[in-house]
Amino acid sequence: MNPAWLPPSDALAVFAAVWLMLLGFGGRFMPLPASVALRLAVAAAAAGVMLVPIKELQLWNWVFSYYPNPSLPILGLLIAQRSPRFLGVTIFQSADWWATWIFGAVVGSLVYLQPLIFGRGFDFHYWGWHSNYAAAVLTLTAIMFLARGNRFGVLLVAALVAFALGALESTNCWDYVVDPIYWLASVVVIVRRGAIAGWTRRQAKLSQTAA
Amino acid sequence: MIAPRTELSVTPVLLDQSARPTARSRPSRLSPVRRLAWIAVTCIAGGAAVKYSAPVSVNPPLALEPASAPWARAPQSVGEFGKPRFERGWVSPEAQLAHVHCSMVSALPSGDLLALWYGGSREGAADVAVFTSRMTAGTKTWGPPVKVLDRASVEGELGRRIKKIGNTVIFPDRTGRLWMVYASVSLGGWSGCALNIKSSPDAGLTWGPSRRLTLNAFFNMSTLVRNKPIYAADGRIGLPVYHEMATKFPQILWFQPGPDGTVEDYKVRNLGASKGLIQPVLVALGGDQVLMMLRDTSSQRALRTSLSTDNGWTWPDPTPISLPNPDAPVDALRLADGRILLAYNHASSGRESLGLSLSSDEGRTWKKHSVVERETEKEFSYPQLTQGPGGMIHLTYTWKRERIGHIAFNLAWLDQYRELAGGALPP
Repeated sequence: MNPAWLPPSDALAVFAAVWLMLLGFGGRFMPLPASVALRLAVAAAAAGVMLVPIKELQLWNWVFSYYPNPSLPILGLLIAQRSPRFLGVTIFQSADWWATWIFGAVVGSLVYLQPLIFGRGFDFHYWGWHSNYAAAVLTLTAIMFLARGNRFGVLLVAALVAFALGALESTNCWDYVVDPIYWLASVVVIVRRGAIAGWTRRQAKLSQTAA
Repeated sequence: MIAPRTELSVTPVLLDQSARPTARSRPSRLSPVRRLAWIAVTCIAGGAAVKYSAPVSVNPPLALEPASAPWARAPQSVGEFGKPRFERGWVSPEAQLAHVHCSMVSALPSGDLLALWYGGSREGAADVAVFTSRMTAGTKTWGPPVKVLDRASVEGELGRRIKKIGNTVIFPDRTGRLWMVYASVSLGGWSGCALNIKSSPDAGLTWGPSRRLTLNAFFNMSTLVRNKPIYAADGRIGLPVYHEMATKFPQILWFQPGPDGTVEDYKVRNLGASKGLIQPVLVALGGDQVLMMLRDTSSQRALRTSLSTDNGWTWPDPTPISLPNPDAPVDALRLADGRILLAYNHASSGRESLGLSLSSDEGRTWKKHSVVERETEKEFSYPQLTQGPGGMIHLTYTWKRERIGHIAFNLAWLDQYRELAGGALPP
């Protein structure tokens, strides 16, 4: 899909994912509020780090070697997390974040753990190659989120467009909507939140009893 | 009660909460107009995706190409009913490399035989390369090895870090184009393998670029290959592959070759639910039936088989048969008369002897035929069978991990051979 003068879109997706991660790291050292020039300088520096060769391969290329299919939701959530600091705009609110994490945890668990949960007889991953079915399911899910005004639906639309264009190395629909890092992050966030909520409730109960 | 948070943090890299004071807040929900606009965009994108991303085929093959398809058939008749012939030779030269292993042999439409193996300082070393050698039709000697892949060339073709390369298979398609599928590892051991595909328009003289196949959801790791494919009448090729990480099980990669060596469509299906079974061998039996034979990595150490009655699309759970298996790969070939020839290690442990067995009832019962290699504490393994010109059957195998051995015999030898006195090997 790329003209010859452009790098492949799958490589660009990896480059963008790692650049956004580095941007978050660089942003931690910026004063608040930061000038436009400083923000641009940090963004350029993060892009420069990506091109640093390590044993003949640039940093982004090392990441591409092990993580060639970053999902569109992880790119979107990284943009949403960087945007307040770098663009001064809050894109995602609480409900959008929750939708992002719950979707990642549920779909990721189904895709990655299916041989362990259902046995090899039920092949959930295989249905990602029934691409017209998968695209239809993805469209309906996106509409459901958007009808509720949830901005996570926009990330699913982006995944749908990328899938239709074959923008990633994978041809399986699930790889456009979830990836192992997004799934692990989702599980960690939900478990952590659950633990905090449980602990807080327990503390509240204890203090009531003491009172 | 916990106050709702506007952002969630996972790691310091993702954490950006300190930016909130400067952020210009937006409404937490999309406005009704924007909702409708986005839903319209979604419908358009979804419609386009459904229309343009439809797979070539998601249905079981209606039929398989018979074993006698013109593009796969080697010239028959000569030698089949004549004098028994049994010849030994070598595919790889003496002392080519410290370690050679995992051969494959394919009969090409031209009548040539092309063998392939990998070698290097040791299995899994960074210096391992894949070699081919050709036996031109009408000759009895293998040509000099030609290096077709090594770690550096694969890195260049795939544009990523490659730690090592391994198991490789070659096979022709119905147009005569030769395909190569090979395993490469970027991280970890063999269970971290991913598969790559490339093709040759001139029967292995030159090769096109490699393409990475994404076959596994989790970082695309742990799909390996060992044996030759089956061919659907609609042009699809079903290549047996297997998964090793966390749990071992067989799979089949269905792909549709496109024009000029492209892959139009591919997908991988799990085969059965049994654990610990790898390196499936598929034998098309005709009448929509396909026999699968499997290496057993479990403690049971018995060769397993399963029979598909829908051209290899669905499979019942494999069951053990009377032959032992020392956690070693096997290969099988359907002969012109319908019998199935099996090359395997007849032992429940060790790979010290390599033998042949025959089945006349589509794999239900087996009769031990002969032992072709045997030496205490040595390894003879990874057999590959093909039928070449003149009906000759060719067996290549790993010989003590030092060379790739080659044995050629005909049906007359198979039918007339009687074990020599004292259990001596055929000459």
